[in-house]
Amino acid sequence: MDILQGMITGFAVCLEPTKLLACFFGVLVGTAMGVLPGIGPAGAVALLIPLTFHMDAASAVIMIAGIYYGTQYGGSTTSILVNIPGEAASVITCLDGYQMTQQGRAGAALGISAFASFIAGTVGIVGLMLLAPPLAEFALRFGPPEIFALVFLAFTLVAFLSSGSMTRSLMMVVLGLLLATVGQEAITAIPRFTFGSVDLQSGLDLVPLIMGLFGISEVLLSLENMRHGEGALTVRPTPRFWDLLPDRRDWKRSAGPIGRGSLLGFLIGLLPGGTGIIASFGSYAIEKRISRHPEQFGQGAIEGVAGPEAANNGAAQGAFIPLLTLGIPGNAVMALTLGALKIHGIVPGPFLIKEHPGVFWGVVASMYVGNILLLALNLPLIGIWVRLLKIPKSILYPLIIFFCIIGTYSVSNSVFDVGALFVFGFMGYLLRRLNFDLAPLILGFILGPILETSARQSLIMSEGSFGIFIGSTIAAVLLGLSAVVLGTAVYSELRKGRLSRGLETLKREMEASQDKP
Amino acid sequence: MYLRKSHQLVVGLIVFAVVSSVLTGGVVRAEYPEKPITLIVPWPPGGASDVTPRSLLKTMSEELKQPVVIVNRPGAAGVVGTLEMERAAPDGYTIGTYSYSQTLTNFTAPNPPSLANVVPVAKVMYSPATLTVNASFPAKTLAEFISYAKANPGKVRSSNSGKGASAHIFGEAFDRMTGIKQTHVPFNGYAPAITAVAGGHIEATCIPVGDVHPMVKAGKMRILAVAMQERHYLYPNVPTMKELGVNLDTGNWVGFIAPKGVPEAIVAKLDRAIEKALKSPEVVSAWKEMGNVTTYLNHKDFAKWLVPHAAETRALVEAMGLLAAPKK
Repeated sequence: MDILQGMITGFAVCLEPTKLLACFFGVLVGTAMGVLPGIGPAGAVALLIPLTFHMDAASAVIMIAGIYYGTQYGGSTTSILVNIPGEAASVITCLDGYQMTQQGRAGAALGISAFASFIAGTVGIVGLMLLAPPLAEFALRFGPPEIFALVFLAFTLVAFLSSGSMTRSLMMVVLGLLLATVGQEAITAIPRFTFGSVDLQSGLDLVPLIMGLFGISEVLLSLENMRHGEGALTVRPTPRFWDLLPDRRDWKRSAGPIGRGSLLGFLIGLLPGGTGIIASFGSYAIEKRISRHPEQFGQGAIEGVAGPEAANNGAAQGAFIPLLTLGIPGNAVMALTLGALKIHGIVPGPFLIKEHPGVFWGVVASMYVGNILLLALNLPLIGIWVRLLKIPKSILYPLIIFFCIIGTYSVSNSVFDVGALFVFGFMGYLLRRLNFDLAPLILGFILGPILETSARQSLIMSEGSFGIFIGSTIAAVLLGLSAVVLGTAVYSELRKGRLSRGLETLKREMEASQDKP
Repeated sequence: MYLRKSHQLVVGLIVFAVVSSVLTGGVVRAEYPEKPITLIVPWPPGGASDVTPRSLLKTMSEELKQPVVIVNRPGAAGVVGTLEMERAAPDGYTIGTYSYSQTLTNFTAPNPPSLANVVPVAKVMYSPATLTVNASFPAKTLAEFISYAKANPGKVRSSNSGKGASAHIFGEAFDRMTGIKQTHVPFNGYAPAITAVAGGHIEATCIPVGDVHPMVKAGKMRILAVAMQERHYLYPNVPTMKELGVNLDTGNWVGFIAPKGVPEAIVAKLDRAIEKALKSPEVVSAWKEMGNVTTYLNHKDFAKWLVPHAAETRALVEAMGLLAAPKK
């Protein structure tokens, strides 16, 4: 009954005209920032947070929340249309989303991504409303060893990420890990690969990496294609609006991925350090693993869009739970939200619901409103986005470069990062010309430091005993799962005969070399 | 003759103007500031070191009749933004925030900033270090904590915000004062370090009051003592370390600084705007919840305070063996 009463309070708060406006403005700006390559949720919120200081606390958080889940909606748009993720969590959406566009199915991809976001958002809000306090307790049980085990499990999923050769994927993971080692490491503060540069001391930033590897390299690749007189996208004549949307078959294929993605995203969003990107990669890997036609992944499988897009939106809602109920900011955006609340003299924690019911329930209720607004906003936009593809590349690509630069610069107002953007751009171009898949690189780059730090923290905590990794049930279960995942991957490789064939070749070669005198 | 006299007057005036402007270190226009002022915050937005100055901006901007705009330049534990501020034109249009952590980097960083390159504008707040434990930790008092730690050397783990960062220094200083030996576990900033204690993965931390406050309020952690001279207003029942015979008086502070060479008149004007902002009712009430202790020092007193403070900090860093090797 408390919840019902709370929700009534909440809707009364969030339907006030000023709050409604804050919500609408938040989701509108969030979508726009998400669509623009380079500006992700953290950048968008950081840019707009000064606006919230003149509002009351509830409006401020309603707006920030709107910006946050709005960017998750918008982030997939450019992934699908031009193969450039609008923000980090949408990297994986490029794989199948862009393939769908090339098959003339951009509308269906955008449509399913909007619906998936809406459904996952709603699942997340219901979870937030009903289960916030117990779930927050669960999140607290993740200490360094548990985080290590979770990230280890995420790494094993690489096995299912790539459509091509496993060796090449692993090479990219390792490259990502190497890039992530640049900078002062977290345990002993020793600078690695900084060559005396202050800018490198805090390491390479994710935004120039993603925007360079995906954005700039995409432009370079198409330049090359244009020179050879190819590469013009085949856009079918603009069909009627309803024909753009996903059809019944798409829905049938997407229902499962959306459901699983929503749940997975929500759970991962809860955890400290859990972000949209782990959720979306995880969802993609799971869908590919359990799919009856895994070979279609990477070739335009709609499941590869629906699942991850649901997952990153679920994560966006889940992340609010530890913040609002315990005052723990799980990621950069939540840290910003915490700051905004503090400026208004509100310290989030278990007392928030009692002391500031208007803020807590107002924010939860506004998420329902915001999600509906986003769906209403995004569906009609699909027609416009699809038409965007008709913009001549001579205009579109300079614009993309422009937005990549602005987005990169806005992260920490750094010219160095803009330089890094172009270096990564050329690197991405070379790697893609050599047919390397870049998604595993991003995974390695993001997860590597978490894995290293949590492993070393755990070992400091246990005074060097490795027992700590199986000392807690959560860590033991997660590591057990990793073993199962690795085991099945090896087994299926064996069954395909690749491994045994490989071994035989090796054996033959060795025998041949032994035969030589 | 008459003409020459008027010439003399003009020449005299010019000489006077040039000499006086040289003496005051630049022409101070009555209308400073005539354009927006950039405030470099060398931390990401959202944390206490960002929220604290941010909460002052509204009143400061009204006082100066020009917007004061924060530019966050995080990186290398505050070094990136601090160096950028040091190198900015000394015209009063680029100023920055300074803190205990930045003072530490003067002595710990491989590319250190230097207090010699800045002029203090005002010190605004203080948040004392604590000894905070997980709620279910057996020790209920500081004395019990110390005897527990002595009985189990190395078994009490203390979370901090990175090697050589503020919370690590607090923790090591506490160890030195009490003769105990904790295992110091570094995390990437305050938030994860606090979460680890709240979740029971780590026993204790020395992170300041304002930052542990939400978790303490939530009943996940307990403050055993605060490291300041008098009791903290948020926790009137929690003793100070001094009361308990541990003479530790340390914590985070935040102040404003400008690049060296900014004329004193401008520094004074900024200082007055900051002082005014500290008194605004919105700031007073917001800071109360944040656990910030207002410790205003004007630019002159801040400069006087900073010299021995930096020397003490250096000595502590050196004693802990964290002093950065001098650059060739």
